[in-house]
Amino acid sequence: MPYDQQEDTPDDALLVLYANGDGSAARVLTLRLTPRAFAHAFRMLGDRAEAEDVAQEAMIRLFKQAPDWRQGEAKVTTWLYRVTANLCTDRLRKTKGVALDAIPEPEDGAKSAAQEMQDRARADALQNALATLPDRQRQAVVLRHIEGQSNPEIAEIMEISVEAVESLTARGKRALAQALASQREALGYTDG
Amino acid sequence: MAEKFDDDMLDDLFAAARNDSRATPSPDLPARVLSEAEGLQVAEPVPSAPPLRPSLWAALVAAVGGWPALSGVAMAGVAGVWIGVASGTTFMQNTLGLDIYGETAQSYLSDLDDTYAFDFTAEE
Repeated sequence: MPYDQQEDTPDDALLVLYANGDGSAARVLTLRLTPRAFAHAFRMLGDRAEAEDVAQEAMIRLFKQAPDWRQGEAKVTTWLYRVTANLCTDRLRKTKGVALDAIPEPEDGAKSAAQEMQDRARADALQNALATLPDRQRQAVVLRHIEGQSNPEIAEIMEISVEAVESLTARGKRALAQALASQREALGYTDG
Repeated sequence: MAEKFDDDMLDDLFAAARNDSRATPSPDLPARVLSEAEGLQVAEPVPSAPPLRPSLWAALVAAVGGWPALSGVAMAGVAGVWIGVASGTTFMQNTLGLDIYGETAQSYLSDLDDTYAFDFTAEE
């Protein structure tokens, strides 16, 4: 199938095409899903190099799974988020602690320097606060509030009930607010 | 009030995280992934359908040497019958062969075995 006709093809149909030897299906899947796997890994780990390793490993596992993929059973993104999160958890257990100082400078030059600095400071503060949460709370908060997944989707990814997801995200948000309480003014937030 | 303030602050921070350029992979990453994906496609072609299992009849035919051997067996059977019929009383203990082979003679089953004959006295 030509590359430009596959832009709207569902992920699971592309996986089947890939398993049948379609080269352009591999390209579309890679461009569509690798950024999502990387973003999730980065928000879980706070380290770009580690996140790239995890995203690459998760994508390779997905392609290896392609010949056995059963269409209509599970969403490809659900499977990918689950594998990515599991790989992140394995790495966090091994390293325990995230070196946020190792995060490289951003490359975006479109915003004003002041705005860029404030956005960067806010993103760093959030990433630091996320790193203080238990793994499962962090995963639920990232999926719900940054990745924009619905609670039923998160429940499927984490293999827990929707009620458990709601509990994890609520507790996670409370813990984040507490962790960021002392930095409100420094981050440009004033109450009143 | 404080809870609303915290929610607003967190929503703003989550939006900042969504727009964080560091959550975008370097261009090298998709290129590496694609290279590996294509390598897997070459290394693991889709297996072709397995051959169908032969039926019992086909297995028996194959066991005796295939269709040519089977036609030889059939020909030998036909020849045996013909020899038996044409040889008269040499191989058969009655004249049935001669009766079948002969052009004018009539054959009855009762000639072959008395039990085939009607017993007209049985009903009286």
